Amino acid sequence: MKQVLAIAQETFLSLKRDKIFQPLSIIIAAAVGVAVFAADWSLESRSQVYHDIVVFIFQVSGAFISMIWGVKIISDSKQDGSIELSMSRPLPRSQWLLGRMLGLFISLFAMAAITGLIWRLGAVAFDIETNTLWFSIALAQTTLLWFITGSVAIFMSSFTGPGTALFASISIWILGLLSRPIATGLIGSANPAAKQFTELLAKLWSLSPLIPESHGTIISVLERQQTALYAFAILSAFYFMGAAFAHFKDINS
Amino acid sequence: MNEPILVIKDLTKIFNADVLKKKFCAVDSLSLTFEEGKVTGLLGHNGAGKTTTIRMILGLIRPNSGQIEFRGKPISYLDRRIIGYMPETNRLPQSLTPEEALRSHLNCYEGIKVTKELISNTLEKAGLEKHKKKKIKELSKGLGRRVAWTLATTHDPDFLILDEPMSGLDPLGRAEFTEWILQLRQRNKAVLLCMHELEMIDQLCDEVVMLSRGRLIYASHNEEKSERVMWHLSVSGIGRESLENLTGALPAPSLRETQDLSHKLWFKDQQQALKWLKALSSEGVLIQEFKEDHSPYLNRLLAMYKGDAK
Repeated sequence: MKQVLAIAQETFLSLKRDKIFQPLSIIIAAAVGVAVFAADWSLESRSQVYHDIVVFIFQVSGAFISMIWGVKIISDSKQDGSIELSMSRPLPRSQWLLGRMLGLFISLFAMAAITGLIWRLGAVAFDIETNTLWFSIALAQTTLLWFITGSVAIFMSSFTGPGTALFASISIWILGLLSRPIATGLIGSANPAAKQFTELLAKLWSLSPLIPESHGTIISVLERQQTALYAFAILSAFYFMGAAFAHFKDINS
Repeated sequence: MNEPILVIKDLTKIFNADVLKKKFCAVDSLSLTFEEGKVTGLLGHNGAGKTTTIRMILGLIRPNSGQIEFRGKPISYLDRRIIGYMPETNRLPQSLTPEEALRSHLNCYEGIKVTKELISNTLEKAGLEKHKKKKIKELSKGLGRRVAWTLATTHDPDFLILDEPMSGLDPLGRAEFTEWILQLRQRNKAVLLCMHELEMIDQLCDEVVMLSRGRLIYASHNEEKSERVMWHLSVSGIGRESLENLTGALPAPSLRETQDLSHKLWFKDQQQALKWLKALSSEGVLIQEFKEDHSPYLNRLLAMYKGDAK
């Protein structure tokens, strides 16, 4: 565990050193500004419009950022050759990958903290009502979504180059987003095998449990637990697949 | 013979180099032995298979066939506890400071209690104390080599792989690194030294091996280090015939160059050289130079390099 934490710390420090949090804070503040503007102009409930827009922007932009960081932490170490030094230490590749993943999660957690703070401050500053429990659940769901998209990127980077990994990660994520509307829209005469596959994909990979309900709608404790379990299962699956690829693949920096 | 620490047996690595699946054999049936207390120089021009061999030892790439044994058992990641690796220039985590890189590195080893004192002392020993808060990418090449050296040696490994350890170092730094490498040998460590400077290789290495297109083309295993040295005698003011008359009874030198009245002679055996020196000086022949000389050995290595390049 000590080794994994060392790699995680190294990963977090590398991301932090690249000054990732400063531009991020500006983007988040801009997103909050847009949401406030839209809320003031909308005919719907101000708080609902503000929070729903913020969630949407954070989920989408955060997912992209997490994928970019996920690809970066693997490809940078391959490109600068520091992976050779890492691999000269007495730790298996699976632990190295776990450390990288944990480092990414720490960075994403920091991003979630900054996001949550600006999100909440925006609401307070512009006198927008916030349901604290809903806010906490939505932030947790968003953070878990980022973890998952980040882990997809790490998985892809474990066996492909940075460009391909990023493109494939975004494609996989979008495929998941599209699977639910496609599955529900399939007509009865559709090929049963294709229908079954789309429904299964929608069930497993639409990431719908990680999309927060509208502001004020609180999901039950059981649903929260199921969401956490779902996220954990997906994260584990991507980690183990990534570890398997990393184990068998030659590392040529 | 010293205890072997790492043995490579019939190691082969074939890469599928391109989309057309044209195969490229980077290392071909390579067998090597690294012994405790010995510095082994790994030579070969670019693409000879040195880096691939090092990567296979480190477990970065897997051989297609053959074995790597560490202390008599197939090498595993756990053996890397006592393996140190100094990568080529700039293959370090660029955005970390030397202090952070060292802390992170040491935390990967069980049984090492990472304290501020340990970090501080280690950096001070390597001359990095003043630069510990700078990012590695902001350091000069020479300081980068010091960071790499520190990471390779600080966990006191028994087997060290040093890849181009002296590139970018100033003369003082080179002298310091030379001293450090010799200290490793004194402490019975096995060192694999990968570099192109033949003089340094000759000065530091007990064994020299040369690769070409993945194959072993030269190994000095059967040659004592003392055999690499020749004794050079340079005389002038005497014709070839007169010289032969004076030394006719003595065994002939191993190498000889004559130009008019100047003669350069090389002897493998010091005693033989001394006999020539005595015979010629007693006859009043002008002795220009008498010294230990490594150049014939270096020329031999260089010739192999050239032959390989062709």
